[in-house]
This record gives sequence, C-alpha cells and structure tokens, in this order.
Amino acid sequence: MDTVDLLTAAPVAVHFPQPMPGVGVTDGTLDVVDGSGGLLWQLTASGGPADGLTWVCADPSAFRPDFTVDIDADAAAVLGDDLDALHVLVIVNATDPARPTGNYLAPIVVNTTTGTAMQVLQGTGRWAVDEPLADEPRT
Amino acid sequence: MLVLTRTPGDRIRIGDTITVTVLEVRGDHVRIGIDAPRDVTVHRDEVWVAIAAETAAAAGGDSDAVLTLLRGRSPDPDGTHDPVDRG
Repeated sequence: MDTVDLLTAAPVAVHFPQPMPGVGVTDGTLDVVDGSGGLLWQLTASGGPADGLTWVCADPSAFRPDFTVDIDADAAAVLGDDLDALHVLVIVNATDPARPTGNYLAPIVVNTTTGTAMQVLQGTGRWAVDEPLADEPRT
Repeated sequence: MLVLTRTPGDRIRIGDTITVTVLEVRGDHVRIGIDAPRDVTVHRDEVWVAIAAETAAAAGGDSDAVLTLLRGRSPDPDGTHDPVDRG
C-alpha cells in the first residue's frame, strides 16, 4: 500500500484499536488547522461517550526537534511495521495560553496508510504528559 | 473487589483473553506479567491516570495560542526532522 500524505488527504479518519485512556475514543477524524502549514491538527472524536470532543494536536518536530518516538514491539503489532507510514502528533493542552503543554509521554502515532492510531507510551521519566510544548525559542 | 491469593508462577484469567501471571515476589515488590489482546490497553495505574487527566483537560482546546507560538518559531525549516526513531 502507498503511504498517504496526511496534509493532502486531510481530513483523515483514524481508528484507535486501543481506546484513548480516560476518554474512550476509538474513532475520529484528523483535520489540519488552517494556517498551520500542516503542523497543527484537530482530532475530533466520533461515536462513543466522547463523540464530538476535539483536541488540538501538534507535529512535535515543529516544537521539539530533539523528540523521537520509540515504537516498541507491542506498538508495532498494532500500528504495523512500515515505519515510513507513521506520523507523530502530540496532544496540546492550551488551558494556559501563555504556556501550552504537550503530552510527550503518550504521543499519538498514526499509520497514514491504514488510519490506525495509538497513543504510544514513551519511557517514564523521559517525557511528561504536560511537557512545555516548545523548548526554548530559537534566537 | 475480588481478592485472590496467588504464589509465583500462578496465573489469573480475566475473561477468555487476558492472563495475569505472578512472576516474582521480592519484599514489597511483585512482578507480574500480563497477556492481553491488542485492543486492550495495559498501563500502570498512575500512568493511565496521568494520561487520562491530561487528555480530559486538553479537550476542547483552542488552537490560536499554539498558532501564535508556532509563528514565533522556525519549525524544521528543511523538513528533515523525523520524530520516529527508525533505529
């Protein structure tokens, strides 16, 4: 199967075989945020108790170039082993607009070919659920 | 809450598809192994609670603040960074 460019294909239907912890999201749609150049996305849940809820998600490469995602065997079993098809997003919490945070502990990884998505837990102690979204501004 | 007494090597079945095995008991630490289907999420409780709370708090967020932050940066100008560790 060909790899799908998310920006071209948006909005993209995604399916979480493992429901998102706490909110039970199993299905949703990813759509690009206007003006973000494909670096910000909105996840909208469809069906289930979270139907209609939205989350802002960010491409971590725009904010933390040092961030890498480890895809362990369990995650690969869900997402597939075609690493070129995987797209990484972090859920953004902008409750404090002056200091948005990102969930770098459990980024969302999407297989752009199949639409399968999963929050992939990274090693505890390395990243937090409320990490400052961006590292220090570049000068 | 169902309470069971088990010893190392013993197993507990949850439904038809989940098996919990007591691997080792050392002092006040217990190592357990869990076999579960791919559609079942397994996390340490404190991790699950943290992720769940953060996801709930982030719901309905406005992208404007993040867009402002984004515009103040120079994100991956070459488009070369790949956040997936491909080993």
